[in-house]
Amino acid sequence: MKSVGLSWEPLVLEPLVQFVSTPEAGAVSSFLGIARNDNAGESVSALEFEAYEPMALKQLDWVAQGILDEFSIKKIALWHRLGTVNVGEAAVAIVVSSAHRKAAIEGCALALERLKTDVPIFKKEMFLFSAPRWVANR
Amino acid sequence: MLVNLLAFAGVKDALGTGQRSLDMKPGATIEDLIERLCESSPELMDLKVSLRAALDQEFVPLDTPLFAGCELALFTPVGGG
Repeated sequence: MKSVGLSWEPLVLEPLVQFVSTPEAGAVSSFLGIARNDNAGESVSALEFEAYEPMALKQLDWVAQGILDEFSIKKIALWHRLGTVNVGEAAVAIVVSSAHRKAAIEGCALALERLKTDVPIFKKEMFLFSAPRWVANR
Repeated sequence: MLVNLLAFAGVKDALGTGQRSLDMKPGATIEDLIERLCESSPELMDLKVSLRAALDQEFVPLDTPLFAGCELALFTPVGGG
């Protein structure tokens, strides 16, 4: 079972942990990608995210389903923010449950890697002392 | 044939709009459409090497033929996560 989505509101981890938790799951692995205040020495004030929303939702679902199919996963939650994300706020939240730790940890990591290449979400960095610019994942 | 173009991120900035309709000749590819956009929006030239495309919400290579009524999305590499 999966929960995926795009949110204009701050992401909160606890409801996602509750969603993936089941009596059969002995492991829950979570990842929060947080907006930080620096990029290569430049002071970042916030991040702005936009998406090709219908396709991004399809791709988030594809990423989540792939993790469910490839690992012994019980449940996965995969959510991304849109709009302004202030420093310290989460831009992405991934939570995965499984019977044992290996599948949960590896599934969580692979979901993030696929999200970073195959989901049409775009990030603009807002700087304190220079003009904003779009940033691609490395 | 009419193509519905959606532009995101740097492509939207270069074109000055996120959506427009273009009339393309039958058999035209995404590359042909990009060439045409570059004529009117030279800023797009700087992004050409990194452009990605989705046709009706599926990632496709840039030599993919367009078809009447399709939805073409153009964008720079993704930045989510």
